Amino acid sequence: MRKQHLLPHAWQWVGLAALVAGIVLSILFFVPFVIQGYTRKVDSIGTIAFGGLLPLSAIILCFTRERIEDERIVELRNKSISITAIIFVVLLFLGPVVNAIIARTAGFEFLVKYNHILGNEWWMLFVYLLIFKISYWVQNKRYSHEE
Amino acid sequence: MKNNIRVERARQRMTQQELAELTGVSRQTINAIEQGKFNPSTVLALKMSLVFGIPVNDIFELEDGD
Repeated sequence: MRKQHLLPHAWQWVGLAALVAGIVLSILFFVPFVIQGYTRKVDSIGTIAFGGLLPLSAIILCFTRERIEDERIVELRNKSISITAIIFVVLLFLGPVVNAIIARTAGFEFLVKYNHILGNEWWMLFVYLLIFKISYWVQNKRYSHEE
Repeated sequence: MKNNIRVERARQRMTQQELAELTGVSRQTINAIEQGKFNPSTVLALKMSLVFGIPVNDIFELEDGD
């Protein structure tokens, strides 16, 4: 068997803790942002959440092995990576078109916000995680009963 | 690809869990292979051959269209 360069399974708890903390800070960032408007105080919370905890949790969760990381799981990971890559490429081509449409209809401010979203590609790790975890859960449920 | 894993397991009175532990994969993977939903690698096929004590050809066989 080939050696797999993944973190031990226990690291999932570290990733989950970082994810929960990141989500809590994101909520703390967005609630005052919506109610009171932009302030320097909420800016630092946003930086910790979006620039630190959420990308960190995504990296840890993506590169942590499952309890039994066998060849079926490796194949599942490969399929999930392929689907994520296709989505990413489609978004790369679609991005400028959507930007142009938004720029024409809603003004420059919205265009900048959309560029900001596309500029932080780490969120594609969450797309990969979502595809992988759902397929993993579905397959394990399907093959869990012994015949 | 067809396989006789279930028959061989029954012959040797072995559960999916036991076969999974002997070959180093999960029970779900053994189930997926038995159902023909997942094709094992050569390494895993050879491990099964060793566990059952029979040639790989007797466990796995090609179907028309493979």
